[in-house]
Amino acid sequence: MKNQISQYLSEYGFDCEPGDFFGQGVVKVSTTISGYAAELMLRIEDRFLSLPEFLLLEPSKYGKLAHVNIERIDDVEVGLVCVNAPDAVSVNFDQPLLLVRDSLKRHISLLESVMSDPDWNDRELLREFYSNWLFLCKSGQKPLLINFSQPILQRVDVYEPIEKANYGLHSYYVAHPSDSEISKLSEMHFSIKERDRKVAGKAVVIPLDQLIPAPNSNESVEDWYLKTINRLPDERLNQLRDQLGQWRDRHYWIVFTAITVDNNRTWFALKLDNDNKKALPLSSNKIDGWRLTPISVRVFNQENVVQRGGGSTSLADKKVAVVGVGSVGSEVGHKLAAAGVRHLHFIDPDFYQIDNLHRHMLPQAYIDLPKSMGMVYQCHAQFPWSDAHYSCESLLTFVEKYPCDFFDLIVIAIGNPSLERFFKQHLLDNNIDVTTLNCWLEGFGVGGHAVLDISGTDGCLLCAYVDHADGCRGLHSNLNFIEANQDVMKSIAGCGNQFISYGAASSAQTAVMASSLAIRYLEGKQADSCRVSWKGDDDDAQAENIKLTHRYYQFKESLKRLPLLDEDCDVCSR
Amino acid sequence: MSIQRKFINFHNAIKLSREDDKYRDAREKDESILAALKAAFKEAGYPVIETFIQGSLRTATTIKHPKNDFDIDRALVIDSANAPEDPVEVKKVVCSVLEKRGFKDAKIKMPCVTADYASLNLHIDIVVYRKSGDNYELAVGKRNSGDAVKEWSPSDPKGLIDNINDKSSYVYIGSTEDKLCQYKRLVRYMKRWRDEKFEDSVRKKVYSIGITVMLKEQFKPVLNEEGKPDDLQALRDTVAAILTGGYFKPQVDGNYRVKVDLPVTPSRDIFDGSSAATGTQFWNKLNTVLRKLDKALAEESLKKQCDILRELFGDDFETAEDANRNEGAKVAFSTAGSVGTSQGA
Repeated sequence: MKNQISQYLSEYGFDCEPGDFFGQGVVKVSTTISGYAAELMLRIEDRFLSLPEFLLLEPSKYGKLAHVNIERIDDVEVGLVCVNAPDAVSVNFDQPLLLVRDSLKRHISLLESVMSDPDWNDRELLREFYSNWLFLCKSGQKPLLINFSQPILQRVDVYEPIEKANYGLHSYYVAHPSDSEISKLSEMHFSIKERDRKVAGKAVVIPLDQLIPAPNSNESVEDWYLKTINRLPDERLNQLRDQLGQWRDRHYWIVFTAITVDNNRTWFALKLDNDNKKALPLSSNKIDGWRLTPISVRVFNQENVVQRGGGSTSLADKKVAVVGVGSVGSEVGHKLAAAGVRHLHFIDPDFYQIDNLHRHMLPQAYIDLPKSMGMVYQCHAQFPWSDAHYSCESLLTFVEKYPCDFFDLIVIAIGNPSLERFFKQHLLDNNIDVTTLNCWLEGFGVGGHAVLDISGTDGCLLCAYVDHADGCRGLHSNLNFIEANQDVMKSIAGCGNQFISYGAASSAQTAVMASSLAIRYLEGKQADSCRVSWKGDDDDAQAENIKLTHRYYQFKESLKRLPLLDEDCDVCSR
Repeated sequence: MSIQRKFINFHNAIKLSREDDKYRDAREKDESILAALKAAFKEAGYPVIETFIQGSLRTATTIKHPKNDFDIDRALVIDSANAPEDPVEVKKVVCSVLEKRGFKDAKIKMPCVTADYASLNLHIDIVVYRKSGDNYELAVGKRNSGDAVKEWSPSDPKGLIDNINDKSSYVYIGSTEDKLCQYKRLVRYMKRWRDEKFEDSVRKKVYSIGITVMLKEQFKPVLNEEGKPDDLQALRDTVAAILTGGYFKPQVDGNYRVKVDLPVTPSRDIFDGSSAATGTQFWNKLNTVLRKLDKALAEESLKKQCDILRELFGDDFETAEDANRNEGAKVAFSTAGSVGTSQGA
């Protein structure tokens, strides 16, 4: 294979030579990159399922290069060139020669960029600071969890992991400030405060104005540390010396934070150990006796965790009521919480039942608990900054008790058109300006709908209820895919136990659609009232001789936001 | 307000049902005459075994006549075993009852007995069938018809009603009931158009059943993608289909004859014996309808649309100004007390 590759690359003008490297077949490629003679080495593999890696030989002679991490294989220093995230490239494993050539071109191209443009190289070094820091950390070591929301100079306790805990939040060292906003019901809070963790020492958080690129090796860490401390502004250094670092201890965690590029913030840490208790070393003459170990951190704050999860911190202060915590409402609530909405208020008078298990998101443990309360527990358990509340009340009681305009959005997922229309009339009669999002599904998997009614814009919920036959206010939504006045209820145990037949996929689909719309609205991306539907298959409905509407057969705009206004709506035409 | 809403308002203005207040006098008269007819038939030896409403009242396609005339279309059914050989005999009994009940000019026509009740502007048509098993036969013949003309003619009165109400065809798939309702609205619109646009003498010969059958056979339902009916487009498309549907036969002299077969037994030509003058006028006026509807469709202004449609349908079609006056003044609530829905969460 190495000969084949060498010959193939040679045919394309590369100066190649097959060889061996500690018993493994390699192909060395000699080339010139930005005026520098450079040698790249490909280690031959049986098959390439990711981009073949060319190692840069003698990497140190080029200075500190971004995207090149220096490692030693036995005593030979090599540079690992980070061309792409492995999953971001789909490789042609059927044509390995093509793949190798393509990879070589990518390696040379990247190296040309970092070697020819020092400014870009410096920026990239900062961007990848944390990646480089991780190379210095001991592999397999669990990161230090840090629960800071603000990058300010401070000192906090570090808690030891629970003994013999191999997984879960209690298996980490945690640096936890006393003023954390983490929910009292969250696992993080529980694992620290309720399980009597021992305090292992102090962590000092040091914000950096200037970030020096990460050292190439552990030998250079002490030098990097002293340089970094030296560059601190006097005020911060004095504060460290006089207040935060005067505590004499054998262990110190120093958590650094700095802006890298494009306003991205990075966090990383050093652990300082000494056989004797001493104050935090802040100069070269105090460093003797301290062992400096780079450690990785896992930032456990809203900004980081919410955004990493695809959420938005801009939603943190939004207040959303979710009325109806059934299969759709529970999913909507969950998705809103996942998106970063902290202040959710769940309203539902029902209790969680065994019948609900297969199309609801609450686990069995919540059976016989009010659904709204269960959702609060669930949100707090999964989303550490949740501030969810609940009321075991119906929509009508809710209307009487709460000022509706307190909320930025009221999601109504009760599947009861009478109450939904009544609630809309209540808002109209009392001139209450609040945005509502009504969502419901229909039986037999034929689809679901959501109506966003933004006060003051064209269209309202009642537009979705204009009876197309006569232009009057109808009792049945004109969005529906199932014709009115059919027997759509199923019953296993007779009266009082009737239900509409649909699966969890239908309720989840409806909820995801409604949640997306809600999030768009809360983020300010949806300024007009609108309606959205998704359309499923009609097999189950046909099997039950359920008649479907013209809209169902014609509908081709699943998940598209459509204007809500109906020109015959008596409210909107006033 | 949409043009569709104006069509609905127009429909509400012209539709008539047996339960309407305006029809109350006619209904009461029908019920009292029916009792008298039953008694007379019983006395004559052929008791009425079944009776039903026929015509547009049965198919919900009745309209108010401009002069507030009301029709009664009543069918009487007797048992074949008791029926006289001569079908005109039973019609004479009907005629006699009507004359005694204050109707004037009671006439035995070929398929029915007709009469007018002057003080109520009431016109009555009574037909008699004999029934054997599931088969109906219509009493055909005039008072002085010869034996060759008089007959108990096989008929399917309920089949025609079923045909009008049929929604099993593919054109009705999806919101079936809404599409059938649209069809019936179109029938009413066209009947009102006929009443507005034809002279009395021709108007009577542009039979309602002919319009109803043509529309049924050529109906092109139009609901937009959201399921909202578009009666203007549906009427335009249906009229266009009627004009190319083979009902109007060009004559060598440039005139037209109209021919529409009953879709059920005895499948006779509804316009049998109709003159070329009727056919030609019908053809020409239908072409005018198509042109006007196309013009209305191309028009963006509601006011201009209304003006065009008022030319076709008369003053019961509101002006745009009427619409604006009414708009917002009242909330139009559903006429249904409740509706079963499929909504859940």
